[in-house]
Amino acid sequence: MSKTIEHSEKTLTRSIKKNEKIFNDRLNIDASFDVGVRKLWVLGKELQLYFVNSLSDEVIATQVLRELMALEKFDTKTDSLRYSLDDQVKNHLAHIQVDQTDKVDDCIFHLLSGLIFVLIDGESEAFIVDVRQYPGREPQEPDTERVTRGSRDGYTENIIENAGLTRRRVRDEHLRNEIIQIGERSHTDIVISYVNGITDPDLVAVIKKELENIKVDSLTMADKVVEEYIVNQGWNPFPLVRYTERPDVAATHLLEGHVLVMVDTSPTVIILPTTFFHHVQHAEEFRQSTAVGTFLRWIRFIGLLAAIFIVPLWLLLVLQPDMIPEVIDYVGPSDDSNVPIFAQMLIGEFGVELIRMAAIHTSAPLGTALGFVAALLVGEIAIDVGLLTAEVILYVALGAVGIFASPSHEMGVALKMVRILFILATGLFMSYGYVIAITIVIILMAQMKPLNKPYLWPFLPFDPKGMWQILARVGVPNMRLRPRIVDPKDPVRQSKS
Amino acid sequence: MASRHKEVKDWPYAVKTLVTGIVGGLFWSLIWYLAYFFNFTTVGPALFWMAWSVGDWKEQPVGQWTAIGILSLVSIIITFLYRYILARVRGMWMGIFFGAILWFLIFFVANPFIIGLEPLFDMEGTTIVTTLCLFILYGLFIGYSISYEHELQQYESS
Repeated sequence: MSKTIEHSEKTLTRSIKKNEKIFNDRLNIDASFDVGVRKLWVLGKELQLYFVNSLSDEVIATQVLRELMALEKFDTKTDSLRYSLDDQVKNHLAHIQVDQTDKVDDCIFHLLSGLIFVLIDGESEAFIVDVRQYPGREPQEPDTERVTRGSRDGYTENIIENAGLTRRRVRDEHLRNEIIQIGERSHTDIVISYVNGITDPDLVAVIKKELENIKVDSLTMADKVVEEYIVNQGWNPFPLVRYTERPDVAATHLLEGHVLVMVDTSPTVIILPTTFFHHVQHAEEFRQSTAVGTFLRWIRFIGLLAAIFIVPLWLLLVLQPDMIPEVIDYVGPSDDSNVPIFAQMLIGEFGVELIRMAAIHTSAPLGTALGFVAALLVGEIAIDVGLLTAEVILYVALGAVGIFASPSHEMGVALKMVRILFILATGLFMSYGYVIAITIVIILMAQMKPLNKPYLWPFLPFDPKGMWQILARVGVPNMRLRPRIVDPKDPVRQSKS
Repeated sequence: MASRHKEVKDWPYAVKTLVTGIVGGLFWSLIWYLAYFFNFTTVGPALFWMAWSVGDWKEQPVGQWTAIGILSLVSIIITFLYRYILARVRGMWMGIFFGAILWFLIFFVANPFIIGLEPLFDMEGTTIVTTLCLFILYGLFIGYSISYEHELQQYESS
């Protein structure tokens, strides 16, 4: 916020009329339909209940009110000897979470979070009762991380539920859920979760410091904004943090020594720190036997490698036919086309990306029509009129499918951009372009160090055990150590029995 | 917790160096063979045999495969050399430089001694670029792995 608004009244006064004026001035209660105040008189004194009806549970609020009204029935003379009115009200606020404060800012912050606060005439402290209930959905299976076996609950837009879903899986007394508010106007809740004693305290400190330095007015785009502050993305297309909607994935990483950052209103949590290879693993593999999990992983790796390297390699072999090895000399388009292969490739890549983008924004009933147009018109007819050759379509499709096999959408798009870079380099500079582009991309990826962790670990720098756990889905009984990349304070996951 | 740490231990530095060397040699000479297969370079891993005159089989696949095996072993020596000389240099750029130097030593300095290897200036451009890139990536792999491990060892012991 460019200019901070200073208010003269910071604490509540003893006069309820003055307090009422403070809140009226700041909240302008008459202007908003969902902010309101309920006045009642109990034992001869005025009580005021401030609420935001769009965020609070009216059933609980009514229950609290009823209890307060019941105070009237008490014998005031004997009771007032024992307790002051203040204490009597406190005793009758029928809720487990009741706080007291004399700060105007606190009252307003809690009110706008959906809590109610009670002012009593003659008292300079307000009671804050947590009756909030946010509009939201039930935990559902996340769309992007489906598994054939395993739990079907996913994170929701409610940070309390998300913290609960995680804690249900980690009943460790060392699990810490630290909450802070960020956003000078939005006051968004952010939870930093870690397991004390496993996670590197320096890492937690760095993340907390980065979060506290955020001075933005609002976090309406939630965790993506936070990510941009924590890691310096720049123009780098690769995802530097991992998102997950699955509490089991999040809990696993928590116990490996990672830090979770949850942002309210977002159904994804951020896992920190992450490397390239975190993005090519999937929960499904850990729900299958080790052999099947390894098989699935290898199919994915081969698909990804093919998508990135084979498509530009094919283009190169077409452009420089003398490079084709004898064993596979049938490679290359058999039919002549008017359009140069390089241009066809770019048109194909552009087309696939366009269709994919259109498919995301298309509603389900129209999706069929879109698929029909894409497959039949673009694919078939383009070949028939001689605009694209069949082989180009094949390789572009291979590239597209290989990328779809990537479990992380962000990584998929980044790899697609890398492939287009390779295709451009190959088309412009032939074999030199292909080789040099690959080398430069590998070097650039190796020098990335988000949160001071090498991005290509455990491949570069090489860590034998870590690499083995990437290449093979290792059985859990054999995973004795936590990954070194997170500098775990307690590196041993399980001791030998 | 202290007692648990004794039971499960990570590999010692020397074993890690050894494995890094052998894997680095194997992986990058396999890539080299792949590049040779697709005619990116006119010399494959069998370059190793060219220093000796050992008959025709050296250019055949069997020659390439045995060369890959031997290069993996040679790579162990190179890795240990790197560890004792350059491990203290932090970061990855020294590794890249190391790879380039290695390429220069083999393809320029030692060139006259390698039978069947053309002089550097007569070589095809793609061969030069591809082998140089491969050696740079190999150097990066070895150098970065060793210096990062060195850094971690120092961090953990402090």
